[in-house]
Amino acid sequence: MFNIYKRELKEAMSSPLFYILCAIFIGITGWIFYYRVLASKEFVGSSLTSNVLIPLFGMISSLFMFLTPLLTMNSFVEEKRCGTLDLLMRSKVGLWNIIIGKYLSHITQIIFMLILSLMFPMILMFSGYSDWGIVLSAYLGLILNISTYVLIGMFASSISGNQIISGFISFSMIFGVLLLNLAANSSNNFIVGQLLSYLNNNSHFLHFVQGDIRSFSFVYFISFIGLFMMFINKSLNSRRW
Amino acid sequence: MEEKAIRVENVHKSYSSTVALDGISFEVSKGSIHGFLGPNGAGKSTTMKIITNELTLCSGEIFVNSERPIGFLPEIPPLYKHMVVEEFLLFVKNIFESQVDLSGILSKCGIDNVKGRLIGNLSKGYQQRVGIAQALIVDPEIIILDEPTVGLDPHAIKEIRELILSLKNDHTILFSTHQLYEASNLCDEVTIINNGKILKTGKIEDVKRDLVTGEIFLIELDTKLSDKDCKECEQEFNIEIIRNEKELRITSKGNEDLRGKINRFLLDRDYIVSSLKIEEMDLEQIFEQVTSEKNV
Repeated sequence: MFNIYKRELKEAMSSPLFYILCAIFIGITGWIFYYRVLASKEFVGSSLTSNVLIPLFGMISSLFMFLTPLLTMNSFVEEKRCGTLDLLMRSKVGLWNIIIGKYLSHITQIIFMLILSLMFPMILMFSGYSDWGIVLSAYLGLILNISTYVLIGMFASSISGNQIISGFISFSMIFGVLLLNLAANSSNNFIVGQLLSYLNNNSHFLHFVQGDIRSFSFVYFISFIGLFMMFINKSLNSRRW
Repeated sequence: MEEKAIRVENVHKSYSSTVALDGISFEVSKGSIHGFLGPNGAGKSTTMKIITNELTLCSGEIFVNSERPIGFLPEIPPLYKHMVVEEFLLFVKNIFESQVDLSGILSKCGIDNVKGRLIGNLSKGYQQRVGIAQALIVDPEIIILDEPTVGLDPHAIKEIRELILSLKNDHTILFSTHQLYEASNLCDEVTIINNGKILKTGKIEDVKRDLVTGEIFLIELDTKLSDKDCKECEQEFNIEIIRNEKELRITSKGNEDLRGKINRFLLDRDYIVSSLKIEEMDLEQIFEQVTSEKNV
């Protein structure tokens, strides 16, 4: 698994796409941060957390809805085209280790991008902000939430033979999960509403951003990760049929 | 009895409604170079992928008599174009947990001088060599090569053939091709496949002997054979004549030796036969004959 992880990460880090995405990410989040800090002067009696950080983390999560399909669209498509996926599948690594190695490589890239965004809470720290519990909880939420996007992207890449189509499928699926929130809000049935709300990753993410870590959110994210890894495994295994 | 490296028994493979392999059976002897011949779409690649476990079979059995992994070079070599040759081979070595010496493989495949270069920047011939090196780096006893010389220039083809021959001493090699000249020169055994069915399999001499019914004569006359005499001769001896000025290329369809009778026929009609020789049917002609017969 480590061999796969190392190779994937090295290839990603030597690609200009990763650095372009980093630049886009930090440019947009920087602008949002600046705007929120300026706007926070208008609100009296509310904290920096609710005025600046919660909207900023929400924006980061939304931004990754677009960035993650771009990062993951090539996960399996290029390997299938070059025949290297069959080489990996014939090796002693095993399919689960291939999937986990690639997943960890994507997560490492995303963590690298998130580390860049740490400068915003640090800037606030110089102005006296000290609620680091919420910041850590929000970053944990971001990693878990973006993990679901990564796995959706990897799954789309495993079922598609073209990276553009893979990116499109990935974005459509992420958007579909987001729509569950709208469906939950518009449902008249309480149980159905609760169920749809539970299935939507954004509602779980909001708990983390508010520093309110719930065990059922962990169960949700871990189940989501496990389920999509299984889907990817089945999809890749079907190549042997 | 000769030890077998691979035994394929009554293997069927279908993709939805398409039958790719229809109950094929053949054996590959240990230490041999076994040519797998057939036109495009015959089922060669599917068979190789099933042997290497890249594809599952619908029914039948495959026996691979080796504890070590199979070295496989598919039609498109599985290469990471953004990796350096040495780094790529090291990666393959690690994922197959092989203990083989990398520098030995580099020199065996003649890629010592390009080991520090990006694979994507190499010529097709060198990329094919790296492909063969990735098959060897897994420390295999059996090597399967799917059309290893396709798309290469004549110089590179010659080099790859020499490389395959040099591997014979330590490995069993199964390789597919539709270049029959290649198979005649390299192989000890052949299997001919068409439309997912095995047409013939065995030692190359046995396959030739079994399939050659009839002979080809090359006759040179003093004058051109007339249309009337040509037709008469074809009807009388049940043969096929191709005329090229004063030369005749005669293909007999039975096992009877017709040389004397045809010679007499020509002399009776005042032709002087200046030479008469038998042309040995090569694998190409046998292949064409067998595949066209079965297609009909």
